[in-house]
Amino acid sequence: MNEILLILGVALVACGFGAMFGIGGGVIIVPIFVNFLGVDVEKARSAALVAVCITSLGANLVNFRSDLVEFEKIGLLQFPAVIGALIGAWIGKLLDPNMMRLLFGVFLLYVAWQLTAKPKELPEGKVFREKWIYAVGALICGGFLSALLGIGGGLIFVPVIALLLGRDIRIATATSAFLIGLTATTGASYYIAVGQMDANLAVWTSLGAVIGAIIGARTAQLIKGNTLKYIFALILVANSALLISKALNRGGG
Amino acid sequence: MQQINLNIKLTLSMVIVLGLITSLITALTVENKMITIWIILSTPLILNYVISITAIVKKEVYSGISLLIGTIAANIIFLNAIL
Repeated sequence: MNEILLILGVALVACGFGAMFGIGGGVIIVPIFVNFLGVDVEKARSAALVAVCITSLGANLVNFRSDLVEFEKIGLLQFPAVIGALIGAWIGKLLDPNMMRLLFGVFLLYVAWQLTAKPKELPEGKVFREKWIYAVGALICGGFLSALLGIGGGLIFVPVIALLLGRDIRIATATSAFLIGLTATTGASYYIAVGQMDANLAVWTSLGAVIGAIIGARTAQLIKGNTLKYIFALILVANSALLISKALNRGGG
Repeated sequence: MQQINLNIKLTLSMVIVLGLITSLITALTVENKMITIWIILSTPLILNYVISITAIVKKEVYSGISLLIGTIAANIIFLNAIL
């Protein structure tokens, strides 16, 4: 009983943050489940993916009403990420994941710096097309890295939408919260196919995630855009530190 | 920024609410929890289908078709998992 309450609590908090920043919540759920509950990494990841799916749904419920999701352009963002993820899964074994972790960790630091730097004036017209081309390229790389390193797509979706497409951070987090739904569905389906899904764990995690997602998405609307931006930059720095330390430890050991 | 109309928003919200309620009911009543997982995972797929078709109807053809292809790809993986 205590364990179920713990699972519900962890999922509630993690998915609350996940919905708030459009990153899902797997980044928090997986380490806690593995280190404190003794769950297998694969089972923790699969449960986290189902929870991310629920987080996306809960956040959508709130964000749809507030007109924060750009429906008409979503397809242009979703497809390249899926292509990148497929390429990542396909050729992932040929690359050294530690080197990729290190490079991506440094890249996340750069993104965090860009996100908090003074915004540049974005010219319209011809540049709009170029921005989309860059965004599509970035999302292919994002999907690729997501599949290769097992990181959440939201860490890539949010900066791409905010920095490359020049959207407000609120729109970026809300759109990202929508986009991660399909990515998580695909990932979770893969885990079911290979028999690594613990249905009980996933269901209890999801129950906590529903409440957390709705609270998180509502809270995000109360936070000022700039504050949201700085907190997201902090999350990027934390993830970057995690990736770099993991890369250095494995490289050395 | 173009905004989606109220009817579509209502439809999407209903899909989500139905998905969440059905998941909750099966989670609490059905012994085979995998059924709940299938319901949870199929809800974003339905949502994406509705949005992609809406985008195509609203003349955002590239966006709609690319989302539709992405959703079909995800659906194939999903079907492969449950069959």
